[in-house]
Amino acid sequence: MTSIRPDQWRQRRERNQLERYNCTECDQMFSLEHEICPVCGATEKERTNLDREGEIMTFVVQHFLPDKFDAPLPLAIVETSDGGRLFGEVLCAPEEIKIGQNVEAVLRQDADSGGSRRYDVKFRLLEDLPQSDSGPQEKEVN
Amino acid sequence: MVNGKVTIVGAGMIEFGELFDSSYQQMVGDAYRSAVESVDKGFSPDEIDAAWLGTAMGQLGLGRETVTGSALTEALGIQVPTTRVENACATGSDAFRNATLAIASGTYDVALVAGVDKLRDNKTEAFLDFAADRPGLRGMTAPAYFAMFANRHMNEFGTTREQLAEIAVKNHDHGTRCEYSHFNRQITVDDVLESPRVSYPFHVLDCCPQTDGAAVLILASSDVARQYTDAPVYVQGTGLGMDTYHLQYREDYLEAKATVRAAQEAYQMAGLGPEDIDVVEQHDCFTFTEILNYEDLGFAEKGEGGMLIEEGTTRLDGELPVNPSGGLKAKGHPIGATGVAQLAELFWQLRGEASDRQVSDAEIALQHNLGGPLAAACVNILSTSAN
Repeated sequence: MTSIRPDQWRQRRERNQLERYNCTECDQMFSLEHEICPVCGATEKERTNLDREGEIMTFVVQHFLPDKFDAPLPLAIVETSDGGRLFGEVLCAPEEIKIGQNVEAVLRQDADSGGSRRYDVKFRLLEDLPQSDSGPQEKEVN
Repeated sequence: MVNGKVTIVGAGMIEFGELFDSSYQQMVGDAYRSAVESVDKGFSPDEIDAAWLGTAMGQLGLGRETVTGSALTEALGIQVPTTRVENACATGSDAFRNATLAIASGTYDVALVAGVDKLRDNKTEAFLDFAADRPGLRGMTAPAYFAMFANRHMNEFGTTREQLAEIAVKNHDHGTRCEYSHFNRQITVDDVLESPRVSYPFHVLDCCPQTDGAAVLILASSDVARQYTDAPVYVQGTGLGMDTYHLQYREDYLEAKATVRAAQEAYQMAGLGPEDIDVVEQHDCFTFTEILNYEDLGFAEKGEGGMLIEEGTTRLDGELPVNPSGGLKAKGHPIGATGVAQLAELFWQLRGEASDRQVSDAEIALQHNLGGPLAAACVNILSTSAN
């Protein structure tokens, strides 16, 4: 029998499906834990699921961490192609990580979840895709 | 409005460091006695009308999350209204800000501001465990937040690792002249770059130490200041700026909006600008942070902070000395005490009492803290004259 804390239960859709609120006023994506937009204070919002592809906005490589972590650990803040922001570990060698890299968010089981199926967002580097001949790329990443 | 109404009439602090032999109560008791003794015309504890206590880490320092104002009244044997303040690393300066506003309102004449934190009773591992496993931020530690800003800044503006290291070299040099410093040794750029990595791009010597310490200030309304000293230091402006807690909600990672907002409020209140400031004590929790603060406090254009350290402008013998006491890097960072100690340093600088780290002709000073994931900042502006 596995146990789960109330806050982990509340966060299940957010963690496992990348579900977010999208502020109708300022377009900010924010956590389902909030009633009010953390950036502009508006209350009108819609639910959405974040795109999985994005670009690294910034990163850190953690060298000094408790033993349970796998240091050196690259962590990044990624802007998804629909304007959301995700935080998580990047699945690459520390020297490979760069600002502007294209990544894809994947879900990996949380090591500490004790079998309760909680997932963490992690990122894998997108290999360069072969360019198609049919015109400009279909999405712009800010 | 604050300017001209509130003064600092006394300041005291203890030597910062790993003070295993000193309890929380002993640290603040010593700093308090030092502050009382520092008042030129004498001071009696029963003149205190109210107190503000800045202690950020209740669990680590006192074994309880709810510190309560009573931690101070019990440690000092006083019985005055006491508010415990916490605003991450802006705790101490926010305690000062609140005392300032209370006196400016006319409610109190004399206030005590105490900053105390004890971080070293617990092993580093315990602190790290607690910091690195927050929900939604797994693996993040204090240096990591600032490192994320550093990496973006370096990518955007070409700020270099060497410029970061120069900050540590400068502040260690200043710290050798400060009797309260945690560290009292010179270091070189190579020392910094060869020290173990912590959070890329930071090495150990890019990071301020974990420290125990306490500092106390005595504030008085300008109406009664002359009872205590003929050289009070005036508070001209105070500002507090916030940003969202989580980095995911930030527009960019190139400026700390919290600092910009706090500085704006303080400058506006004081009727002054960056060009008026003679000496600065700002929040160099990590070397890069000092460079970021140069920009966000208005001393350099965005992206050009690195040039200021390269040109030597912010050294003790430069045009705008920054962190004459050695900053958080050399003096230490006992979180709640830090802001109060910076204000004590500026009190001494403005009264010509800063011995061999004295900045000549210092008349207007700026103090700054930036705390949490660059989420809360406080700026206070002091001067030698009432207006």
